[in-house]
Amino acid sequence: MPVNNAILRSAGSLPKIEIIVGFAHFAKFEFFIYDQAGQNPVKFAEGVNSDDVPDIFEIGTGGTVAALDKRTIFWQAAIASPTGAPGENYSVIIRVMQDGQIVGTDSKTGPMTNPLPYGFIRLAVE
Amino acid sequence: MKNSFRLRILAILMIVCLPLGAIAQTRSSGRSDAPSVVTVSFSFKSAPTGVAGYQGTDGDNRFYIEFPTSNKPTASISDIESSVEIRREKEKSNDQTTVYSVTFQRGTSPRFGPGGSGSEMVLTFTPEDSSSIAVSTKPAPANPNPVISNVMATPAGAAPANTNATNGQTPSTPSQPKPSAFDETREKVNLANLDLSVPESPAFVVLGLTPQTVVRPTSPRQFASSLLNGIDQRGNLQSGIALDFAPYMIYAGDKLTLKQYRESSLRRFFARTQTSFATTKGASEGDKSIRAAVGFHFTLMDRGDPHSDAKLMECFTKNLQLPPPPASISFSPSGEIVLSEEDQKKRDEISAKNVAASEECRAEGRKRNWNKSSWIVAFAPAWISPTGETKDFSYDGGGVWTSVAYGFEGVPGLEKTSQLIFHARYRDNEMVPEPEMEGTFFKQDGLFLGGRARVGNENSSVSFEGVFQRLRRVGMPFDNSSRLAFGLERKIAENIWFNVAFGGQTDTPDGTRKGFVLTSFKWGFSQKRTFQTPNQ
Repeated sequence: MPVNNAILRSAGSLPKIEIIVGFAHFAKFEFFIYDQAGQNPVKFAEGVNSDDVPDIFEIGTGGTVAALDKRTIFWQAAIASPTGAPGENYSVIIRVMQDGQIVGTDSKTGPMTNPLPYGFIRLAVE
Repeated sequence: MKNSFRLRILAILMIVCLPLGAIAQTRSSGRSDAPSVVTVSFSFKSAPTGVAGYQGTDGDNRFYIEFPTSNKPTASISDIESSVEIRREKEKSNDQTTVYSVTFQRGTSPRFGPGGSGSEMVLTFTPEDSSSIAVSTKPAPANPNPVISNVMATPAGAAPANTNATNGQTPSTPSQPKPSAFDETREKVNLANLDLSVPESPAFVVLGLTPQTVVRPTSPRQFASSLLNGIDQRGNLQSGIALDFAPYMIYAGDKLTLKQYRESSLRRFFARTQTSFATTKGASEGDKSIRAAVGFHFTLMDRGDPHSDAKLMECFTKNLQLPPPPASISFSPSGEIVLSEEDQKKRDEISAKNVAASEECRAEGRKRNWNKSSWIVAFAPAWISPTGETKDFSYDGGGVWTSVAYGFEGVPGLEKTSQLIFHARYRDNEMVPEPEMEGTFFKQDGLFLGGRARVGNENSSVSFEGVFQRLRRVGMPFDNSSRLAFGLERKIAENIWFNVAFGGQTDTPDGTRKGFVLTSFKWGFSQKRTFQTPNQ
């Protein structure tokens, strides 16, 4: 699976990550962050998109931007269609933002017959 | 994937637009309101022995043609958009003799005589101020009940069978036909009245291919298609296909979040706006027409919208699973991450479980929501080619309708079991096949007001429907009638529903009552060739 990069500014604030699930589908999701060696995944956010909590989360809370360099984010979501109409597709967009600017994205689309998308975003600090 | 989906839609639009282009070309010639020469040809099975024609009296703008029932002709009109209409006069017909009436435009003179072949008779309506058509002279003004033509198109020496017309005398004046029309139409199989699993495509509704009169409000789908083989509301066998899609969901749905859908009524309105294209083809010898329609369906209110079902969301939250993350990740030389087989297998298993769990949640949701209150409006223009050839497409009027469903929310005992549906529809300028007259059509306007009570659950229901319908042929008075029906609907297999309806219809003004029993199956398919579930 190709991995997208998010380029962070070391002088900027801690980045945030947002999940956008299209087609008004339900989603249950999780975010993990791996260390620079690709080990020790730590969950830093989870939730569902049907509540009133914004689906945007700070990455590396309590740390510094520099500490995020060469680390990898893993995201996954379980999607469900409220209508269950046949032939539906899902769409998930992941956005990494720093100081209001989008610095990295990942996206997945697919049929609702396999509604468990996931992806990786590698962080780099310049 | 998204691009291929859009390409698919574009391809569909092109397919649909091709016949519409032909329609536009057909219509571009324009028409005049002035009377024009119109001919109606009657081709008899054998030599037209015993055929007679006479004109109505006292302002009756009909020409009557009488012939032996055993020698029933087929009829064709030179200009299907003219006001000339043909129908069988039931009250004047019997086992031996059948009478057709031909309604013609005022300001024209009917002439009736032999046609080009030995078995053909031709009725010609010529503008009274026309000097270019020299069929014959107009009837003498002094004769209030003229015989325009009483030609016996028999072989030389053959004796006509019709005593009213054999001796050159004026046939007995036909009694003024009652404005109640469409008797013959109503003799045919009438309407079923039940819900089916496939939501009513707006384009199918205007083409008369939804078996029920009272259209049930249903949720639109992003993209769907449905097939139908059955009997239309005039009793003619039809086969058709409808393609339905929600334009907003196709072009902007991938960015529409659940939160936006819930909080923005405008987004919700557009997301639930459905467009449909449908074509149908007559499947019987007597109806070779092709019809096409474009439908637009708007959902104004839906208390059963599953997107707003908090219990459904709770069920999803509780039952959907996420696998553990990979214990470690490594990048390939090309910078990619590949999951281990074990991780991928685990994900596939959980994905399959999630699909099943989601369906169970939705099934519970359908139990809660199948009869909730909702309100839709829709409209659809239509086109028809009576001959079945695309070059003959012409505008077939349009329809506009609304359905309001009440789900007895908050009423103990009824809230989970019952639903009332009110429906109003106006259908303008519809071209309707003439019963028992192959290849002939008449124009009809119709107003339908109805209500239906449903009791049951998401898998089966019984219903009782009452419909008041007000129909008229163009240029004639409205004819009122009503119909009552009792129906049963049962899901017999996944995505396949069986329906049966019993009912009766009253005709005015003679109060004739006619009964009917109808059964039907209906199914749908998606782009993935899976069947859809009810109430979606």
